[in-house]
Amino acid sequence: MARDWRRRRREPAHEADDEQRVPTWEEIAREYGRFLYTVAFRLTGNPDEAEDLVQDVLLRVRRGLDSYVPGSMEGWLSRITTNAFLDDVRRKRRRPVEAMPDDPERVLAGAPSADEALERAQLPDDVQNALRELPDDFRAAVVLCDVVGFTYDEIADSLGVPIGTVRSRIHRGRSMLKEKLR
Amino acid sequence: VNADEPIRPDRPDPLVPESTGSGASGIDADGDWAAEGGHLGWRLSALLDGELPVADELRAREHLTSCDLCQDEFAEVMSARAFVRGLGEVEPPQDYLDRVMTRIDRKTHARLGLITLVAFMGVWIVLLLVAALVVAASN
Repeated sequence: MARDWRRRRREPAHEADDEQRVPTWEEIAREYGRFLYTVAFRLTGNPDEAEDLVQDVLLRVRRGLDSYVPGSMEGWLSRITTNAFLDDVRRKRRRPVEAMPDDPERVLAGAPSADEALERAQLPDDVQNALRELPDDFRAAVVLCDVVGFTYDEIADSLGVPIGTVRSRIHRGRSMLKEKLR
Repeated sequence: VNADEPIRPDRPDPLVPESTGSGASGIDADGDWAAEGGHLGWRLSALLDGELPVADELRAREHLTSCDLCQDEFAEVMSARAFVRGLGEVEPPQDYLDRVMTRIDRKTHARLGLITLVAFMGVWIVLLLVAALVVAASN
């Protein structure tokens, strides 16, 4: 069974001494590397893109450490990661790359039977693939809610959208996800 | 319908007496119960996430007990939520962090190298200009 590691249930070492000292970006990288990779992978669905995203995040962390207000480090990192991801998505939309119909990872398998679907749907890879198929904005909301453990207010704040949009994206994202897992 | 837009219904809510209005229940100051044709819609996810005010939660639960459609949808979003929550932490590739940090270092050094080069060339250009001015003045 997967370990529940979401933000609300973790108390990273740095949060205890946040009042005393802001860590360096290298310390953040070492301590939160796995957390960053998990969020990045859930957003991108691809190991290479996840690494690129973590690199972008750490560069932003290094530049933005002066503006870091001691508090929830994971919350801060999650916001940076999501924004870096969405910025990258927008950049790619402006410069669309050629579609890759031959990419085997993006092609869903043929329609399974109901029993197969139930069985398949519990495999993490299938859930990850279905997650990757969601529109980027919907995926970001679902990941911030169900992977990171943000409240709706925090998600609205991170994505810079009204809370009504967050409610809608999360619900529709989950509905679409379930549809893809059939 | 733009899927990206928050739900902002323009129909009266069949579940709410007209005199009370939707704003009476807290959360619906910016939305109305008729948004999904009298069904719960996004409130199902908000209910699961504990994001509905108490008054709305009670009302949503009451509706849920008597609506098959909402019960089915509730089961769907509940399982989708459970699947994503059950994904857990990802095991990163070995040495991924070293690779990333090495790339950041290289990027930093390349940037510093470029800045140094530009500064060096700038100094030479200034020196050459000064020399040219001195030559011109002495002639």
